[in-house]
Amino acid sequence: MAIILYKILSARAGKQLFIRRIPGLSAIDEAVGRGTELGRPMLFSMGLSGLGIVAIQALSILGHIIKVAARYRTRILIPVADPVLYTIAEEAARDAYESEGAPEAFNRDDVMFLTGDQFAYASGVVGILNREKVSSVFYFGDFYAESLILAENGQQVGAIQVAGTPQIMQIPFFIAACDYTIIGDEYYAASAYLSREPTLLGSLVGQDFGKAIILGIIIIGVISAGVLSITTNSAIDAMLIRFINAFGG
Amino acid sequence: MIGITMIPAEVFVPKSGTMLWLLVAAMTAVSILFLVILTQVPSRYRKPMVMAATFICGWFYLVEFAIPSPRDAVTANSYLRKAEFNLRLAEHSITPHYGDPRGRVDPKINGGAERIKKARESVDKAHLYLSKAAEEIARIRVLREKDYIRACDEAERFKNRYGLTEKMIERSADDHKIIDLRTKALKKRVSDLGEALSKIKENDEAVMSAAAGLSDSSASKQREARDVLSAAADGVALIRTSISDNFLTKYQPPASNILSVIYGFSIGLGILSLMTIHGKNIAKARPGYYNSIAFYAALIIMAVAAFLNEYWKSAPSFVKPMFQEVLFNGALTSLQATMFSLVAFYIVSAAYRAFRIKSAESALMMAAAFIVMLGIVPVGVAMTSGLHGNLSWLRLDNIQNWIMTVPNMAAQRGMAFGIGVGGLAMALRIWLSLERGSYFDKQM
Repeated sequence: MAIILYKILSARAGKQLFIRRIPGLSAIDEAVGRGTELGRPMLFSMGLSGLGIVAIQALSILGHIIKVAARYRTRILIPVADPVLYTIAEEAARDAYESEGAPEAFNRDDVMFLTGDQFAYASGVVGILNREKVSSVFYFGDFYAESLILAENGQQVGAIQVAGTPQIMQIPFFIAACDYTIIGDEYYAASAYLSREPTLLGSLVGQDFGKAIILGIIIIGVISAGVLSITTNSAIDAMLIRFINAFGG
Repeated sequence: MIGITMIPAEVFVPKSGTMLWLLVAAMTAVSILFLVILTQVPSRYRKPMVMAATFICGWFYLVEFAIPSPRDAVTANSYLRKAEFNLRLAEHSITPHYGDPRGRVDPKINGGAERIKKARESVDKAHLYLSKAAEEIARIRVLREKDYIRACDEAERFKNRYGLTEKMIERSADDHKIIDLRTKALKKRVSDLGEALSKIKENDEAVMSAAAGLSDSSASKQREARDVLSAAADGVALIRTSISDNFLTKYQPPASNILSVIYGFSIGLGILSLMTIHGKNIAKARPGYYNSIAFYAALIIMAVAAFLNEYWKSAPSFVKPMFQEVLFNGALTSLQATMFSLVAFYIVSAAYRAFRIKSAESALMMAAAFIVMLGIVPVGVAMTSGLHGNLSWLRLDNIQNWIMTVPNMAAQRGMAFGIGVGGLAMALRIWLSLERGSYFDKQM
């Protein structure tokens, strides 16, 4: 946390930071553009997310997509499975349209609470995908067994699809069925990547440093455990055990 | 913070009778007042309010976590960890056998004798671990009796539930007597196995109790075993909230309850949204408006059925099962199962596209998928089952196992690791209101 805070402060002080290109996030604008060209609505699904960091990140991405869509007056449908998130998503959508100077483009019926039930939600979204013949679909949030049902139907209606989820088991399904998939911690890099806000970029670089440090500790731990299993020297044993215990081993 | 400490924890204890209704009325009035104020506050002030609330809530949990616990709480915590560990061991020991759907065990078939023996051992182990857990919880009780009455009450409750587990294990032996006819045949077959089963025969009663436990595959029995273990785990979790305490800990449950209350209100808003959208569809006779009529019909029927099921005490005996069987098991569960079963078909079409070889990476994935699929199915296993000794690593099932447990697992853990650190950074950004989103569209 200290490293993340340090990097945030150094970014705010004006230090230039570099982050690599993430194709899935770069494709968002392309997908919105396609929706505009085809004149068909887009769909943004947060899956079964409840209110938490996963959903808040999804809302950040939603805010960005709505702002781009609002410039071209492209309609975006937002079916939600969590009632708390529904109210927040509606507020986020209204804010995004207002910030782009297009409050009249906001239609509150486009943000809809479907159901909290997993497969009922899936069938509801599939129905919308097929009825509205959506041009682009964005899946950002917590997805489970319904991920493939949604992504395959999106694929069948010919929509360009961008997905990102921290649910590791669902990533292969999205890779197989979507055009672009954001993998692993790229999901949490989305708001920094899309906004290019120095503060957020700082936290992103800080978390990478944090990962590098923890990775170093893991490597040292693995070597220590390996040495411990073959050494017969009690002094080395004691030292290694102390080290491993110190890091919660 | 000082203000919070002035509020006695008893304020949050559930009330009943007139006091309950007075509190409901008072809280309703306060909620309405709060909502009115919130809606009247201009947006530019509302955002700093949200920021402040987020920061205070985060600070509350951080301070609660950081303040050290009293010394005896630390000791009690160590016993609690041991109790939890033993509970997990007990669950681990008993689950594979109580979860066995294949029913009665024939010692002559598929290593039945071995399974009976293992079942007996698992019941013994579960008994041992649960005894240890009970001892550890009794120690917690002694340590915390004076100052932490709630912890002791929960420990007592847990002990009672643990008693249920003991009874359940004893009942396995009783079951043997009840199903005497079945087990007599089993006994005869066990005795026929001769030397290999001599150890089991020596301790016949224990073996038969384990066998009865194993052979009774009824859903209720399995549910009971799981319920008791999960109740024990719940008991331990409740004790945890009482023990790891400092002056802020007791305010954690009320703070968490606020979210539940908000959730309750939001469900109403969500249903209102659905009713509005479908109501407009019907009023304007939009294409497919009959689906909206079906929605209203389903909503009303399910709601009425649920209320009647709960509150119609004098309902004829056939009515209540009808709600459960027709509406839930017959309609809802079948519809859910239908949607879920679609996944199988979608996997085929997704796999077809994913496995088209377009690059070196996709060729590698295709090869790995081919080996994994072949290594799981019986035909694939049979193809290389002749490889023994130094060549056994070339068997498809072994290669498949290696792919799944080494490279695949390494990649998954790598991703989980990144997601964990990313989530931490995200949580920090939210707490400090650095995240851009609906309420933080510009840096505050």
